[in-house]
Amino acid sequence: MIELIELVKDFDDIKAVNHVTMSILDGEVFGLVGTNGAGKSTILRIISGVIKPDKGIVCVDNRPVYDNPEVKKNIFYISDDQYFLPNSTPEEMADYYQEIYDNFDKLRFFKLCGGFGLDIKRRISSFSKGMKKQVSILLGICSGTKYLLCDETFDGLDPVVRQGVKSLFAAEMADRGLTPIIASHNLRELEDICDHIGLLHKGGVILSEDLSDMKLKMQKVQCVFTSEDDEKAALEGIDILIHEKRGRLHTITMRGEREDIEAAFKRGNPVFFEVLPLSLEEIFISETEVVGYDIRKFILE
Amino acid sequence: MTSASLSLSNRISNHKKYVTRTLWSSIIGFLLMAIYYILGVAVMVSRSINYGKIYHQSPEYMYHEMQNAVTRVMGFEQLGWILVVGIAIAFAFQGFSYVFEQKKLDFYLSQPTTRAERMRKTYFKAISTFLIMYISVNAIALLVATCMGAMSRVVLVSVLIETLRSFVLFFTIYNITVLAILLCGSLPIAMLVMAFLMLISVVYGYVFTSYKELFFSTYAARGDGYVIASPLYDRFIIMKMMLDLTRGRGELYNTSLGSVFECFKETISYDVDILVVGLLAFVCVAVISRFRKAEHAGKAIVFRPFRWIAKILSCVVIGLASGFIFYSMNDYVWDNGSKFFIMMFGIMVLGTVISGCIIEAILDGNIKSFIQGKAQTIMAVAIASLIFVIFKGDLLGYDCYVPSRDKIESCAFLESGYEYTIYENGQFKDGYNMPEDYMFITDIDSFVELSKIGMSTKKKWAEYDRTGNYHDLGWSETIVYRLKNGRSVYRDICIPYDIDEQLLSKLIDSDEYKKGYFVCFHDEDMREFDAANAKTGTVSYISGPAQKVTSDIPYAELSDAYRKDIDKYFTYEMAKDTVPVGQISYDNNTNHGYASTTMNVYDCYTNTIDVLKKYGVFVESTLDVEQIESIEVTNYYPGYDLESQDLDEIDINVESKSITYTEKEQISDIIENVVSDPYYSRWYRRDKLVNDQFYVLINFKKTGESNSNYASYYSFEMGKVPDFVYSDTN
Repeated sequence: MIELIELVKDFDDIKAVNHVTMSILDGEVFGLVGTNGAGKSTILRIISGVIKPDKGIVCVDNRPVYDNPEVKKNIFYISDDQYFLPNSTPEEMADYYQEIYDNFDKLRFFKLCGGFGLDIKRRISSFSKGMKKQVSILLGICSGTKYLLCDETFDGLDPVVRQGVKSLFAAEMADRGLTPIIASHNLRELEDICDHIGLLHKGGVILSEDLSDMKLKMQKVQCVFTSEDDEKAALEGIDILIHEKRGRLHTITMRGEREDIEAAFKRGNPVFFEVLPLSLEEIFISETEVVGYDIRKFILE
Repeated sequence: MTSASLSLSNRISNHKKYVTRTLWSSIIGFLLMAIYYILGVAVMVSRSINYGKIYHQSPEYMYHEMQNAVTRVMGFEQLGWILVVGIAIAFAFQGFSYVFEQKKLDFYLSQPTTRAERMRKTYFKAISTFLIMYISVNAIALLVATCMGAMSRVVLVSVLIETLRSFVLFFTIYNITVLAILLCGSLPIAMLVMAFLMLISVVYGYVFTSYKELFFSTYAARGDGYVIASPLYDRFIIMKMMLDLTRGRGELYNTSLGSVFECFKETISYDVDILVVGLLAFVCVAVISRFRKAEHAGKAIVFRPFRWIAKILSCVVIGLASGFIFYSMNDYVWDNGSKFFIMMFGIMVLGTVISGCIIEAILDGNIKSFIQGKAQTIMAVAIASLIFVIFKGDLLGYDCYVPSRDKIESCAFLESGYEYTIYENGQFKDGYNMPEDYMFITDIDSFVELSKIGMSTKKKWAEYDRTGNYHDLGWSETIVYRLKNGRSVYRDICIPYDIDEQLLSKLIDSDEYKKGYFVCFHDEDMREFDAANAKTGTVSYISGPAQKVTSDIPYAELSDAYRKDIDKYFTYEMAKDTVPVGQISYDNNTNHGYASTTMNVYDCYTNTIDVLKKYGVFVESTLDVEQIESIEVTNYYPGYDLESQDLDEIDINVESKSITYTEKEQISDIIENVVSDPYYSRWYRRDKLVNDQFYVLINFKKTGESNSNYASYYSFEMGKVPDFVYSDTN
């Protein structure tokens, strides 16, 4: 388990990570979502031991990670801008990592490269952006580490490869309890794969929950009321995140269990009432809007 | 198969791949080293063999030449250190440039290792790779030298010393470069900082020396021009010293282990400086690496205090240098009055400010940033101004500094009067700079009293020079105070002609002065050379009208007599107004070298004259009108009279005028009033006793001993220029 306790990291005047506390359980896919500059990459770098936090502590399996090779043996970090040794081929990178990670499986790497259509003898510098990402992911998977940190890793992968990688993750999780931690803007991708989501904004954690719980705790409703009194009666005591009104049609995103929401709305005798499925993207927009990150501001202001 | 089950050979193979992949510079470095050392030795030794054959050198001489060919490539005089510097810089950038890019930092720092371990591994790889390269290439080169018959113990020792020296240089340059890298966030800035760290002390040293020369009248350009903390300067000086030594001592200077160690001893202080700088840089690297963070990548200079210090130091030195360059460019054009110095100060301030703006623009990579960092620029201007004022106003009292008497161990006048030269078997043994080695005046009170007067006269003289007026105020002299703490303080002084003669006599007449000034007291090498080559030694005695030569006088006998005369008769009182009656010239040319020296002979030097007489080479100095064919008198300044006019009133561009006299009467008038010119002592009062407006060339008639005309130079005594000479030459 990875625990982040009261993490603080400043870059000059910028608060990159602001008192972040969260836990990443073993065997689940953790998604780090956040606005631009929210601190996703910084948190991954802190977890991987690249950056030392100004305050707070990161414990991986109850041991601090910074400058601790024993702990870092269990972590493989794929940054958003991958680096390969100059003029190296996938085969040479495998040789290199074989020296570093005790459990690196070179044969499996070669096999996977073949499966993904990557020539292990070709220079990586001549690969496309997507192919380089594939090499990184395969190196990460074959390193045999318990934790795989992926920063915007799925960007640039075609849908087939993306699916293939997801399958690989699933297989690794099942086989040896891999715990992928994925930072991404692509919420649809995370929605498909993640078990747990950490939502970041301006260096702080807005929420960190299981995706299923998150969806259960937030509802999106479309309804039509006959009068304003009915509307007031229905919405009284409800934690509304977004409320849009077009004519008489209300679209409301709110916190709460489905049963509670339905009971509340019954008080207002709506003419029409329907609970809509909530996507991760909508959760993201709703939550960030609450803390002032509203896309409409960019357009209107 | 996982890496846990990797065999040792696989691990080594992987490591090799890593080294060749990342340390490309090692391959280029190895090739360059191989070309320089292996090919260099082969070519140089072949060349000396061919040369020896063409010029029929003896086998012994050719063997020495071949050894020299090897040491020129691999020994003390080698240029290979430039390669070592280049490789150290390349290795440092290769090993640590990852700190400039976030993606490389992500790659390396996320791997299961500690920062300290990464540093250790990178250091180990660089140093071990260098050592393997250097030692293997040198071993092959030595093997080549052995196969070509150019090896000896001396060569081996000098190559081993040089190997040690190269390692120390590599270590130091590598550490300085790593330090520069850790202090910076980008490659171009790191290169600038590296140059700053390596050269700043040299630049400051040069600028301060220039300012001393410029502003301090008593500055003596010896002794205290030492630059510390610059390994490049140190290594360059070591090479220069060795090359000078080779040229000075001849090509066979490294013939014994003793001479090799002696050479090493001469440069050891520079080697120690390189090592100390290397160790300091290493400590700094160890400390800075703890504070260096991954997020510093991309910044110009990562630590603000260092950025400020570097900027201020650079601005100050650039400002000072700008002022000095302005001075050097305009010194000869403009009068060096106060306006000139105000302009120099203005240029200095401008240089400081402009350099501050440029540095800010470079560090920020943005031309608009040139007005940033005003506080540091202002501080730099203040420091540069302070330095300027300190030098200009001599606020530290350089020009009047005299060490406390109780701290002085001994003193010396460094102007040497005579010297001897011996060149034997390719080695020079100069009787040069004797006062520095042998003059130990302990009459500190008299010396200090005289030097104080000398310093103030020197300041006066410099002031005249600055305003473009030439005044001969006295004897120029360089002095040294040897302090009890081992330091030496050098000053240029001018002993005024009107100095208290008793004071001067006290010093000049002392045994300590004579033993340091006259080389005859330390001419053991000359005696040995003469004894070994007695047949070829000649002594000629030149005295105005004639010259006689003999090969019979043993040098030792002559020197012994001369020593006695110096001891007994040489005094300031005698030297100040007496012209020597002649000069002894000793020459000895052999197949292996030569030796020569001269000795002035006064008429009171009875012991020397007796020896000359004994061997029949003494000639009376009296001029006889019958011996003279003609006298040519030249007036340098027709229309002027230097005896009554000041030199400043004279147009120096006036054309000189020469008249040749052949009439006996005129010749007689002239020879009664002239003194022999070439041999006078440095303490002779020419200013008072000789008229320098004229020179007199006496052409003697041919004698039976000589087939050619013989001429000698004379000068008129002060106030004794015959009227007809004045009227003829004006």
